[in-house]
Amino acid sequence: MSRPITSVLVANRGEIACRVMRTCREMGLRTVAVASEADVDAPHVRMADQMVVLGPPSPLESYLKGDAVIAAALETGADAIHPGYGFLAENAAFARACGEAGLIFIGPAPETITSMGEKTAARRIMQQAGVPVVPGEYLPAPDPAGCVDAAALAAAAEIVGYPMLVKAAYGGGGKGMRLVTDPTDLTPAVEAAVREATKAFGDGLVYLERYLERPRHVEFQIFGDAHGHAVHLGERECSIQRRHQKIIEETPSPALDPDLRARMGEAAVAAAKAVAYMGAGTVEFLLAQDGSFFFLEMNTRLQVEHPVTELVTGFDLVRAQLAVAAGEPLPWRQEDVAPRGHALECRIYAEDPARGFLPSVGRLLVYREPDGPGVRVDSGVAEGGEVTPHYDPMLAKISTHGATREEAISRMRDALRRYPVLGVTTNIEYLDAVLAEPAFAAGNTNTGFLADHLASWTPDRGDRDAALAACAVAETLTPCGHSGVVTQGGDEPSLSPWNALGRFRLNGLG
Amino acid sequence: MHLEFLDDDRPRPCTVEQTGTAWTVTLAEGEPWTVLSCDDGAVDLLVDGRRGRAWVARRDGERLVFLDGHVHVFRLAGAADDDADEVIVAGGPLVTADMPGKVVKVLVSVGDEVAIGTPLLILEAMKMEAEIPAPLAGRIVAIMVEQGRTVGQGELLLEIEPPAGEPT
Repeated sequence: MSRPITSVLVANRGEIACRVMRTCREMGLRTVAVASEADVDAPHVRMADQMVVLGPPSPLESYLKGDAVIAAALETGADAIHPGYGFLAENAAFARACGEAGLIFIGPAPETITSMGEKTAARRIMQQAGVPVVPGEYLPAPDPAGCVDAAALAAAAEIVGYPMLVKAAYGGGGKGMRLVTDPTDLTPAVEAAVREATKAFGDGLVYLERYLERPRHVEFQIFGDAHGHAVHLGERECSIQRRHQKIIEETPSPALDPDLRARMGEAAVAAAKAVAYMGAGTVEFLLAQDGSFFFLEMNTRLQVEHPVTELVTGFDLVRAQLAVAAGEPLPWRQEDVAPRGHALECRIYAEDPARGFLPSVGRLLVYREPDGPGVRVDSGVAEGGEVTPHYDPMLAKISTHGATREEAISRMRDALRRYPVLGVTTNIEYLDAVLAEPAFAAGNTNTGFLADHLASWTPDRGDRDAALAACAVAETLTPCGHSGVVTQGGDEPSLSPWNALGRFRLNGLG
Repeated sequence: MHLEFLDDDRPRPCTVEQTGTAWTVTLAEGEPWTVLSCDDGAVDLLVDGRRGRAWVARRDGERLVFLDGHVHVFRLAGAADDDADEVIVAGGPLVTADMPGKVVKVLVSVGDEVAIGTPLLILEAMKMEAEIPAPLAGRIVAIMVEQGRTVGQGELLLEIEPPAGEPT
């Protein structure tokens, strides 16, 4: 059943499309990008050998159009499709259609996606495999107006108990998710979740789940192959979340000792084997303060936060995904997994933490990535590019690796201070404030951390006089020739309204 | 050379003098600053005896500066005010869209009395829904958008009339 892959279509955009193509290029594989009309000049398109435009900017008319993606693969002669995360990554019908079209879907079998994507089935399978689960109930499909049957909703809420989460059955990444503590909020929360889920995942099915107070979110990277092997690559602690959206992840978790790690790792491998898992997946657990842990869900895709696992294990997870998809056995056995040091990831979002985290859009007037020993940036944007409201506001992920947790944190803080982004507002300063918290340094993280420690955060004024001095010198050297104080109404006609300071050099060198 | 910026609304006069290959910037208060180089938007300067690198960009009358993890916004004094954030007209404040997006649901009707913070409508952008709260108490006098409508940044959404006698 082994079948070589020579050409890969990446059915995604942004940083993950670039990340996948980097490994493909390294392996000598031909790459095909797909793009919406808003993305024809995006970095992921510029990295690929070929590009196919899928349709208008709306994801429903572009990146979520499975038939158009498959047609693009056939047309360009690609033999495999890598879905990245989000969009079509956990769409079983798409995975099945790939197989029917003679294409390799780089991910698990469609049946696995179905059973793990439908969260009640996943829970049942995990319970049977002896993995502990959190109380939860599934709601009937919403009617075309997005409403859920009231009697069924009341019955499900009764079983689950408050506080509870309303979650998208086919979701992830916090989209379509709502916390409900008061029964009167339940119906509007379900309706909103149905709308978001329909928009983001093309299916409005939602379910209810008991909400544990301030647990840690600890997940295990798993990997399986078509020959019955399954291993785990250690954990990632993802407790630093805002509205259920992870923003900082790390490995190893400060909360795990070798014994707990071994027990959770065994449960994760049992979960993988229960569904004959193939490829890269993640088993998410909630870790209660008393050390008990519960299966939350299995994500049948490469995770956003996979770089921290790559940094400590030294493995390239995309390379392994491609190998397993081609029918090869896993490149490692469990005893080959020997993580070294500590790794941290911060997600850079185009959003304004000082204004309720409203997404920020606009042109990236200045965008320069930090580098140096132990610093990795995965991004899907470039200076001069436009951040649009059509897609997820994550611009990039920055990961640092150090011999110790302290070293990884110190590298991250230095890198964040050397990460200029101007033109859209980002959460960079907020991320640094999280890392500066004594409770973070002490490893006392849980999913309530941001609410407990950063609820009253406001931007630091920084060194405003130094910034003003820099600004003044730059102003005297602008390329458009004007200098001094601009008079009333005298704006700069030679400059585009969205213009970074252009290229100029000093002392006649340029 | 003399320049004037606005820091929020405070005027900040600056004097820039070239001294050999560097610059000295004098502000109204404090010691003068030494700027070592300025190239392609990157400005190196001495901060407490250490080299710091600032990045500067312009957006209309605004000057954006990144330094040591912080973003600073100044305005060139005298530049036209292009902020369209707070539009106040006679009759009542107009609620505008903070960002481009799509109106998912309008939660109020003309004539409704609202309190500060009452959700007015749900706007969706970047696949996330955001509730737009009432910025003041009053009565809804006009709704300019309907469900499903795509709105641009700064576009009028609705108008609230404050109770008589209260200044806005």
